[in-house]
Amino acid sequence: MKINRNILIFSSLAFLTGILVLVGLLYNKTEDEKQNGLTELYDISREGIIAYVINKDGEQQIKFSKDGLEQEVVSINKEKVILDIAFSPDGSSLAYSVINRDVESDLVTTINIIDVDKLEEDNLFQKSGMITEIAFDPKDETNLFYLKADTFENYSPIARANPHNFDIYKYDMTGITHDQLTDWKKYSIDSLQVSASDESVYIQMFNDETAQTAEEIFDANLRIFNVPLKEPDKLSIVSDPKKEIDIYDFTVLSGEEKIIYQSVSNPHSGGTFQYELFEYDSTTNKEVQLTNLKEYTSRPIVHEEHIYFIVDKQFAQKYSDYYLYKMDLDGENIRKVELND
Amino acid sequence: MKKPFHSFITTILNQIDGTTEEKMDIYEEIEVHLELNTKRYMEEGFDQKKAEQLAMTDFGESHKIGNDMQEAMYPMRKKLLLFLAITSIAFSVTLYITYLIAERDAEIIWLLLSIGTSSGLLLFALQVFPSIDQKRWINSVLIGHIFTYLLGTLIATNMIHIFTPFLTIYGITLLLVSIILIYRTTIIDFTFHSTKNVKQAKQLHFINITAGIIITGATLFFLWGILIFSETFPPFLLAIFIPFIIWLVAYYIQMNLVSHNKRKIAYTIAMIPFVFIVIIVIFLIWNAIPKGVFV
Repeated sequence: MKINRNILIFSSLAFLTGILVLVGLLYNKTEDEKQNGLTELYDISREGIIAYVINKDGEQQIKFSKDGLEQEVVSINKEKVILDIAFSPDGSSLAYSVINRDVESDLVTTINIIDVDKLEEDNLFQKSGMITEIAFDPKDETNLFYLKADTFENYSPIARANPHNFDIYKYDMTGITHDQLTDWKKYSIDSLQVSASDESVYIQMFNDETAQTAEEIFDANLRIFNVPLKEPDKLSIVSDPKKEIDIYDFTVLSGEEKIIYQSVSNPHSGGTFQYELFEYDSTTNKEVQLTNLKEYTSRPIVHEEHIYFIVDKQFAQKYSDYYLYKMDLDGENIRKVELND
Repeated sequence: MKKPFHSFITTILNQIDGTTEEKMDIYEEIEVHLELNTKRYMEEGFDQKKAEQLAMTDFGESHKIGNDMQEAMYPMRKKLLLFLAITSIAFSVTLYITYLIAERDAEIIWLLLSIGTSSGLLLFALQVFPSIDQKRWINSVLIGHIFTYLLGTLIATNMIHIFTPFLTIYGITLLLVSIILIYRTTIIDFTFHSTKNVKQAKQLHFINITAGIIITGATLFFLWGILIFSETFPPFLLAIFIPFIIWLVAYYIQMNLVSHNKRKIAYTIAMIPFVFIVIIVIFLIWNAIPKGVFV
């Protein structure tokens, strides 16, 4: 009798566990499948078409939006992830950089280009390494600049793997040639932007050129640099050199005297950092805070009389929740841009 | 040849936790009592078989006697184990389903481990295998239970759901009950029939379990810190387990020493993990003060 009771109890428990495992297998989602909605990646064409990347059930799509009309342009294989998108200066084509999600086993980036009118896609080139950012030359749309990391590894045993050994490259579409413009093998470089007025590019990276000791490297800050293409080692800091904290994403305004960038507005509060947009005028050396959303504000792009930017409403949470916003150039009239994501 | 009362006494002993040595002592005591009663009935004129039956009837129903003896020797143990097993299974099912709904993550391995350790406790509560050394096995399962439900509590805290505070408190309560049961099984229910250095052994168990909780907690905290920032676990980081190994070896040596009546050396060794803990705490406070942690 007692044995029968025990058998009944433990069989029921095993049955319940089996049912729960089965339900789990049916409803479990991968990390990629859980991330839905807008990503940080977007660009705006000269004609005002907003190209943006969304996650949908584990795969990424590029969509166009203009005047409330949405159009799905490209769907990417679930195994791949888009790293950056960029419109050509005349807005006739959109280039995008795509790589396998499993970068540690297959570190090869493909750059494709989409004809905006015909929605036809073409492969531009493939390169070993990770092309994290692409930017057309506003002066010559046959030149595509890119930032490429040669490795994806963890520099320290207690650090996560990340792209490293960065350099700046240029791809000439007419001659189908690649030029390596720098030989720096930098720990990181971000926010590539090509100058509209001269032969130079703007980037963001650590000001650790003169750092010798570990303490000096640790004390280095992220700054915005102008890199002359003919003599890249004669680069110069164009953001406020006295700013005590890091500067992240940025965009250089036409005239190239003003920069809008992302930085932390409350570095000494002790709470969660709030990332806001700031405007810096290099002629007056003055900084003005444009946003005060107390969220994670990033990716400023200036189009006509507006600054577009991304806001992450779930910053420091498990999954991000991105929205596209726009405001006037003086930081007024902040409003959400409705996208069908 | 099988003894006449063997089956009757074994049924009683199957209801009782304890070591083989303890059970043998109880076996002999009951057997002597039954034999004396049998002899008395035979003197009154009953034949041997009838006398044995009357002796057993006088003694009482074997299951009830066994349960009463278990309750007298280890008060509330079965009920506490049953309570912990059932509430733990309820926690496992609730957390697994809630996490699946909230995060779309099926923590299948954790579910199997937690149902496994809870079933282990249920086995002891229902005394499915009465012949095994209950105390050692109960403590082993309880230690596994604590690690599994610590992970469960961390899963609960990591979840974005209305149930998160409830499940976190629930998990912490299960951990506390499990820790209390380890203290209780080791110290209060300490070897029932043993008389040699019982007081000293109880004190040493208390000191070592307390030090063990602190050292294991600190080791797990640093391990968690490392795994957050690193995707790999380089071999040199295994050094993090050195304090735990020192504690384990010191504990084993102390219990051996006290059983050989070498109490002073045992107490001296017992202080080693505590000295380590005090030095580490002073070091951490000393380093934290200049960084303004306490301001």
